[in-house]
Amino acid sequence: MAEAEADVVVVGAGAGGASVAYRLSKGGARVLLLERGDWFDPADSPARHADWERRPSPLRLPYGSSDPTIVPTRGAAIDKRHAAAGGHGDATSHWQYRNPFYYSRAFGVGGSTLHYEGEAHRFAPHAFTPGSLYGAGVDWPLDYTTLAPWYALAEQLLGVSGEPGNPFKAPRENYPLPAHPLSRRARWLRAGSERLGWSCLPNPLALPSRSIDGRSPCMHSGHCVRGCPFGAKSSVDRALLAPALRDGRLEIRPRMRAIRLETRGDRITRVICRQDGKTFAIPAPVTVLAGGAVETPRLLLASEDGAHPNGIGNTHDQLGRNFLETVFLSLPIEAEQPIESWKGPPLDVRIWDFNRPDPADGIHGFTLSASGATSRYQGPATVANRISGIGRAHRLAMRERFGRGLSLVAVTDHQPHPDNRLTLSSRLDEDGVPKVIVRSDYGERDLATLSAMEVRLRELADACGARVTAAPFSSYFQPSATHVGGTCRMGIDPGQSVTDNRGRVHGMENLYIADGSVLPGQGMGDSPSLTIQALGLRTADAILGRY
Amino acid sequence: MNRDRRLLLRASAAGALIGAGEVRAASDAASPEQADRESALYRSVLDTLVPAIGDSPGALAIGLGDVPLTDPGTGNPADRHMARVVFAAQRVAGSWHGEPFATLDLERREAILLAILGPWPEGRQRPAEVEVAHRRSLQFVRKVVLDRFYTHPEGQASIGYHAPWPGGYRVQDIG
Repeated sequence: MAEAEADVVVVGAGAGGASVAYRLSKGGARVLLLERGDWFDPADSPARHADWERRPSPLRLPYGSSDPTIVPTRGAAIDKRHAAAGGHGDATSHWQYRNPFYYSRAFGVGGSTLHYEGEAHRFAPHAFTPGSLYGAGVDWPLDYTTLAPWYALAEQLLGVSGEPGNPFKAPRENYPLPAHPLSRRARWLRAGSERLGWSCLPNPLALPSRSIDGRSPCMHSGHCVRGCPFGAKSSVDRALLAPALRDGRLEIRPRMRAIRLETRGDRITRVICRQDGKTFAIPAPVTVLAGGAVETPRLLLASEDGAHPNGIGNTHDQLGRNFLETVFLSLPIEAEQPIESWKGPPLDVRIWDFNRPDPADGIHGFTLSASGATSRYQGPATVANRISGIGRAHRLAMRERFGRGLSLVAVTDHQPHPDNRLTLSSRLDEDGVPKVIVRSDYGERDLATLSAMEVRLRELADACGARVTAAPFSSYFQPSATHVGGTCRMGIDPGQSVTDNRGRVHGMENLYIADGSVLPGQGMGDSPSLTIQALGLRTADAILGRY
Repeated sequence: MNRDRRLLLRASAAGALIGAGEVRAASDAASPEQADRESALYRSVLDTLVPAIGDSPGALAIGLGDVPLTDPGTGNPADRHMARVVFAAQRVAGSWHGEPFATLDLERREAILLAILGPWPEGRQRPAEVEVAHRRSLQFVRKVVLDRFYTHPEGQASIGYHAPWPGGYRVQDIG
């Protein structure tokens, strides 16, 4: 397909971009999908080898490498009144500032779904109206009922495995596939939570419980974050893009990066790209940006021109504001008996009892889960090196303790604030694009919720009979980028948002956004991937209906 | 065993002083008996760090004594650290028991390496030549050996970890 033939140019092949590309191409549009990274081959997963702990991930930049996107800057000052919340124990007294923001993400066709753990959550209805219910955050410009049909479509396309009947969510039909049998770790957690009267429920997962579309079912390896070694996970490269490619209307250009948009009035005319040291211009009748909550506003800000002096879509100075980090707190524990904490879908159950708190509590909604899926717990060599001693005693300790370690984890929303924002730096990357400076802090509600989450996690550890092995670790000290959003949030008022409720950029005729940057909130502890996909499918339908 | 490793171990076995990165005495000419002693010493350190227990193989059974040890993170050879460990183990074995390290039973060998790792046990004489550098080298060798052992399928099987390659776990199709 020649470039001039494309009806729509999509930038970014992650959860949102792939959903848009799939739906548009299935609907008859000719789509050119640009992706900075390359295809991921499951054969390249480190998890295909016994020594996976020592092999670098093909999906991520090595830790400590120079970030191609963000200029590291000192974080906000730590509020000592709240330092106990996930404060690393005694280290709190020495911690003056939050660490610089580290942007951990996957590069490749499939984006962050290449390393996500497959959680496929519909946000609860109340998560769409936090402003009205709690006076915190903002209401979305659409409600759950409006989005529900696209949620259902996304679940069908991904082959989500789950069990209906979650009392904390809207009533729903059966999932496309049945839930996985619970892992030993999940059964252990459920027993503990039931002692507290909490509900520990099967987590809906885009990890197929049986073969679909010629793919293997999930093998329960627990290696989702390293790129599924079997190609079983419904990352969007396999679940959406591979089938869409068969129709011949979708072309994917891996290793091609959009560096600038050109405009004429309120229209995008061309997408300027770089590949292998060369620059290309792609005519763009319609453009959909889906690079995520950092790269999308970066591209728009960097595309300033005479008609858009502050960046495209930034007439009201909203672009890059209301940045949402991932707010989490984890508590390292050890079970009193082996529970094979490393095995099974990494997050096969979740506790939603606190997803909808009483407005009078002054805290936000959150969810609880348990994960053993990091090399800290999952890697035999890593665990071996953390157990002291040598010889027979060490070997017996390994037999005794391996498979017991895990983290209890609580996740909530980051409260949007206009001063939490991305701006462009004067420093340029290798393609001449300005890097980004991230300024972000926590407010009173964020910190109060962190404290509440720590209380609940300790209760859960006690109820499970687990030993807490280290001080809790929270994103207050080390900002996290697992679920970022908000920087191009959708809304009705152009003075308070960047896109409308179908993803079209305010004031632009043919420019849409379909990624986490449009999310006004984060679901109060749910994972945003399915919502990004549902919104992307809805945006595609809007484009198909309009052109 | 490659030439460099032979030189280092020979120096250690002969009691040459190996300080921070320095080998002061080594000879490449060795009798078969001497080579056997060196090999036994090297292997006895590995066997002490990760011994067989019951039916479960230890470091030697999975072949760690037959390949050069390298730092899995950097790829750097661990020979110089191993030579320091061998030296220290020999010195302590001679001081405590008047016998070569390799001829001691596992319990005594473990006690010696644990002493080098620290803290030094009360009431036990510490040879003057055994320094902090030897402890650091033993920490390094321990890490390398544990890494190699627990990234080997047999080492992993010994703790009930059955990694899912190449075909994955058997999962019942419940559809």
